[in-house]
Amino acid sequence: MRNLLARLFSFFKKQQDISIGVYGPPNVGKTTLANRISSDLTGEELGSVSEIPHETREIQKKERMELQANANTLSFNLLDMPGISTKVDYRDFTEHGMEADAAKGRAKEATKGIVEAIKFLEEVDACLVVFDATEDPYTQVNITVLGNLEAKQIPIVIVANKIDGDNADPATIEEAFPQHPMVEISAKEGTNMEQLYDTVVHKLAH
Amino acid sequence: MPHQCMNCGSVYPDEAEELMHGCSHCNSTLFLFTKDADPQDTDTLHEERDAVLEEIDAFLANVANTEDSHSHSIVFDLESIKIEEDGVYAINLRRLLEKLPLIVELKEGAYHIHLPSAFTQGEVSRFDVSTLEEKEEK
Amino acid sequence: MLSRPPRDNEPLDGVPIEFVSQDMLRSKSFQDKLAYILDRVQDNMILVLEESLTPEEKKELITQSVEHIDDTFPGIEFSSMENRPRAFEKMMNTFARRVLRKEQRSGGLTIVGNSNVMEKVKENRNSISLLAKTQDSASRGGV
Repeated sequence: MRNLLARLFSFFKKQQDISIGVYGPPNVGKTTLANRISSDLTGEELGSVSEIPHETREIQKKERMELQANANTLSFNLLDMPGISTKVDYRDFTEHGMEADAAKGRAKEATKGIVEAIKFLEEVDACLVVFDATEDPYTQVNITVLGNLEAKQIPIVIVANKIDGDNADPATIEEAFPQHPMVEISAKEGTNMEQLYDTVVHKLAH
Repeated sequence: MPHQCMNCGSVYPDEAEELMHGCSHCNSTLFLFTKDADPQDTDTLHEERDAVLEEIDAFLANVANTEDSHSHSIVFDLESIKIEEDGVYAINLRRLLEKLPLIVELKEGAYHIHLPSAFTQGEVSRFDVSTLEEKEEK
Repeated sequence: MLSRPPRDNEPLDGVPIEFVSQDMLRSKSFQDKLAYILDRVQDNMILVLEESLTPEEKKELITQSVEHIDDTFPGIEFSSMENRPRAFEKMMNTFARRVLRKEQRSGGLTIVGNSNVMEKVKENRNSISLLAKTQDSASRGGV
């Protein structure tokens, strides 16, 4: 059912900008990256960032962004997604000092955000799948989300973020998912963003 | 002829494979349980389908508002999210990503949504979404 | 939740940890190896494999394990020691010799389990600390 609706919508969408979703587990730097892209291209950020996981609990959108590279222009909407995890526990928030009731409310919102992000997999035209390069990429979330995107044949650019961190090991990420272009960056420091932009345009602008 | 695809109108019997995998003509995963009634025309089907989808969307939108303080494991969204205790949620990504075929039954003015296994032999149905209408009492 | 009767002097609660030799792993086909690992992980055992798992093996293990996720099984987790600097390789070989009584032929050790019985406490360059949970805390972590 949703298939048919989705097909109809994508027919109309072809006439508009494409939607690029920023996906990944919590705390890998999706919002930091989205803010960096948004500020580079429009001068404004689109979301708040925190060490407390699941800061982004709703899809945050910035429309009509434009990237140029090598005489190609890509017009797109950027959608910063809530971080996807298989478990949301309010105690992950209380250990950052949040009090229990607020933490429980945050847990509910985070869960809802995950459902929204998953539903949106039907709507996005392309994805930036963000990894923390200091962490092991072989997790349920990463494998499942990537597998699903691949099955839908949605174009992907893998972003190995936090290369400024100790023990950053982007090579392991590349080895894990060699079938997609990978760019290693630090969204926080702004390192290598040009390469990311070039790769995105190259992959998505026809 | 108990089940009708709500998209293209194709009719299927109780144990049809299509109920588990989707309509073989159009891939749709929503079926209407018409019992022994005559098959409906596609316009009517589409109307009912839209109504059901609206309800499913509204239901999913209510995830954050579910009263869970007196529950131990309320299961909603077809077992893809489980509240283990207050403030702790376990999310089954695979199920959330699956587009499970659903069978819709119109009973006493309300849409009841079942998994196909409720109508076929072999797999025991563990879940009937219509029980979630009682979520306030759980 | 042992999958076999406890032996003499074996504690009745606690986490079974199985060391699996490279020979055993190499003697199995791809699917048999994965099934061997997955069965034990689902039985709440921790496995220490005397070799690194390849990216394909890890991805396939995760993909297969996801099909079995339910109330009692939260999914599979790995910690691997591979691609580490030379000094560490030496340390691993010593460990392998002393504990596994086997000469390491290629660098690598993989620890596989599920989050009911194992919690990754720290993963550093040269060491991984894991907390093996007892049955009590394991059941608290479940439903």
